[in-house]
Amino acid sequence: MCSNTDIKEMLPAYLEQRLEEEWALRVEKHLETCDDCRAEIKLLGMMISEQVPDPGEAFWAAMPERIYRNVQKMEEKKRLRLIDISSLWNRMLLPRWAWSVTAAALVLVVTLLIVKPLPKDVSTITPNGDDAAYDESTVMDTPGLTEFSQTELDDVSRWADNELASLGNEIVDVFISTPERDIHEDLSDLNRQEIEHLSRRLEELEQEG
Amino acid sequence: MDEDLNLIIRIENGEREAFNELVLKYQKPLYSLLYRMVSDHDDASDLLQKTFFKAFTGLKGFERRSSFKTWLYQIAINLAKNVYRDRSRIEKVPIDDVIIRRDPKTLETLIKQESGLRLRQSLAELPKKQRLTLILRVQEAKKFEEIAGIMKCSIGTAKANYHHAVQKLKKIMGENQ
Repeated sequence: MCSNTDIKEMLPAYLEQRLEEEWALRVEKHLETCDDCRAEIKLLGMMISEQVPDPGEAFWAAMPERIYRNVQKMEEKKRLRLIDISSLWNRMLLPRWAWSVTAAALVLVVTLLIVKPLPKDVSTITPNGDDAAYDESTVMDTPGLTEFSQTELDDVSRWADNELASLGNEIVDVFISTPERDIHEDLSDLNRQEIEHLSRRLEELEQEG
Repeated sequence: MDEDLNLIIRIENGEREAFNELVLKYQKPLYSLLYRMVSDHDDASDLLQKTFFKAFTGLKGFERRSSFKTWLYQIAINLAKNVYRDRSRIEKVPIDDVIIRRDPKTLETLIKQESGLRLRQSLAELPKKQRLTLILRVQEAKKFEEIAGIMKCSIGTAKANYHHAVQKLKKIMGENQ
């Protein structure tokens, strides 16, 4: 097998007479003595002589228009697709105020859920001047007595007695320690609840004897 | 400036005439290559349209690292690879079915046709890269530099593919005799 790759590479060009004269002569001289290259050039000659059937002038003339139409169709499809995307995007962006309101509402809900409300500071609540406001702010809903057990009721009763006893003592102390004070002045210092409580206590004392 | 690049710029500016000019310039050599690869006019015609379509719709992707011609050939070859015909499907026409006219040239023609058929069948048995290199070098008269660009390989590899293809073709033709 011939190992002269330079000559072998020039064979197709030699066949088509595209070589410069100097190189063509070199190839011819080589072919005189090389069987392998002669067989090769014969084979290559067969390949070159294989003609591609010509589809005709009408085919060639129509090709540019055919391709152009396909390209235009594709460009049009792309344009329509962009318009669709653009209009969809615009529809999403249109109610901007709605997006703002929604965002604000979300923030509010999150705040309410996460942040616990602060307990009311009673000392900062200014009464309206009448006892009703004070009563409303301090009086708790009286629980139903049926909710407590007997033991709990006894405990409450003992506690109330202790409180009343101490209150009674205070009242007595007040009368003893401040004899010059006008009873009406003292009574006017009491609020309605205290007065009612005092009244009940006095009745009890009277009953006791 | 490169003539093809000039045409591309004009096409990008919307010039219809430049578009036609570029198609007319490359349609015949591309069709020839595609036909040799797929051996069928309809397939070759379809591939030719697809090649130009892909090139013109993808002009923005043409990085200009190679010539437009090389880039166009690369597209054509890649598309043709998907429609690569199995040469073994080429039917042999029995000689008895052919009407032999009383013409001395008839036999010569038949021999030529038979040789051509044998050649095509032998080419079909080559590996794809070798066959393509042989077609580009011998039938499309491409230089090795161009072949290397189209097939995205080195010049040395292109030459090696060529030499191996020729050796193998000789062997197959000898076996098919």
